[in-house]
Amino acid sequence: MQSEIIAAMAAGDAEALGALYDAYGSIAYGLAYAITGAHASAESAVAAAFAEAWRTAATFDTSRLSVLAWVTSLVRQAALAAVPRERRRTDQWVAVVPAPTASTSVGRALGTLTEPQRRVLELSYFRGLSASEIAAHLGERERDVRELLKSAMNDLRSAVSPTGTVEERPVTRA
Amino acid sequence: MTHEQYMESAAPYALGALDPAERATFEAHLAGCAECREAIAAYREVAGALAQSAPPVVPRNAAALRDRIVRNAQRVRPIGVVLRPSRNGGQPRVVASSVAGAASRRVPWVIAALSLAAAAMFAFVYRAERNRAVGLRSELASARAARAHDDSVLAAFVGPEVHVVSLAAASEKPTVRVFWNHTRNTFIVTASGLPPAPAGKTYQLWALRKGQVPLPMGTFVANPAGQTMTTLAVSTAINDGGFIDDCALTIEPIGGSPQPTESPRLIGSWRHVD
Repeated sequence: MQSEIIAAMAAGDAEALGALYDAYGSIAYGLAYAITGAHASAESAVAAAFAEAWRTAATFDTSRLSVLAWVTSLVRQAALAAVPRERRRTDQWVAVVPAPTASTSVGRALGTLTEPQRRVLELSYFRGLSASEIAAHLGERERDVRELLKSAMNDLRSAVSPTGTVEERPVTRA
Repeated sequence: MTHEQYMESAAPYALGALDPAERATFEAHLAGCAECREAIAAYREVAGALAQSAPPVVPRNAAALRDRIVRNAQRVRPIGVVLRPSRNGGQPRVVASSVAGAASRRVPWVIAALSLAAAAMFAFVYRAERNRAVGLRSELASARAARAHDDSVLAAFVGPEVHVVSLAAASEKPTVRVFWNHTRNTFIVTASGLPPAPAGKTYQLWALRKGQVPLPMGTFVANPAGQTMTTLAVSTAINDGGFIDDCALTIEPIGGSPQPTESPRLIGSWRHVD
């Protein structure tokens, strides 16, 4: 069904883009708002991301990446571009930091991460900072930051099992 | 660098957390390393799942945002969409250079992780039908608006108060005509075979009266086929000066000039429509 929507978009059917928005608009908006912290910027970022999805639908291969991962990566890019890098580096700008929640599988998976893992992941994903910027921001060594990023991503990857449910794991890790 | 060392960069790369120089090095390795590409794909799925951890926020006006997105799309043709004649020789149809129809080998947990996917499928069908109806209604509305516009244009150009000028060069093309309804103070320019104005430039018309400086009559552009039918934004001052003798066409910077910056490309004299 989703690959049909992408195919229809690639063929120039603007209403297929509307269907894509119906499916992912609310995730897109939540993400854009979390990154920009403002409605006007979030709206512009979501509009820009869907415009880019429309423009490049023919080059998107649904067999390689999920539509969710594709759309959210476009939204994240557009939203990060709306917040100046300098502002993202500083603490004056406060991202809407998502708290781990038991209501979604990814929320539960986040709950299995350590605090340092969550911190670097948040600075990377929601603030778009590089490993070296995160290291400078936290006063840590860059290699430690990279190690945390990698282990956090690996843990998330395995926390969500192939059936989409979260494996029963202790909430605090050794 | 060894493959193992490159693998260390896969997660930060997928998050966009590599500095530009390292990113370039990593991408060079990626081109020849299927294992790293696979790792990147898996990490990008994780990043996609992370997006769902953002707290839900209700947009100020979700319907308006949707409209804005769809309307923008209607003005832009996506990459790879080309018009090809259909096999049976009928109307050209839109085809896409996409492989999106291929069977999906998507990472399975992502589908399942999306609690919305199943519900969305049902919603898609419903919405597609609803959207089609909405689309038809808006097409009808714009067709009606276009007809109303055409009617008012036509009304302005039927009657004894209308003058017309044909602008010509020595050669046959292009053809530019300007219609002037002096009781309504309306000017319309029509053109065919007009080459596109150079980048950053536009066509501008001038009203010429003997012994006076040229008066700007507004700017216009032609479509890629060299045609136009444009209602000109003309100052009422033009009407006040009595009959206009001639009309000239120049190419000016976008936005138009207060006085012509070149000698006329085309020139013609006004006459009454009989």
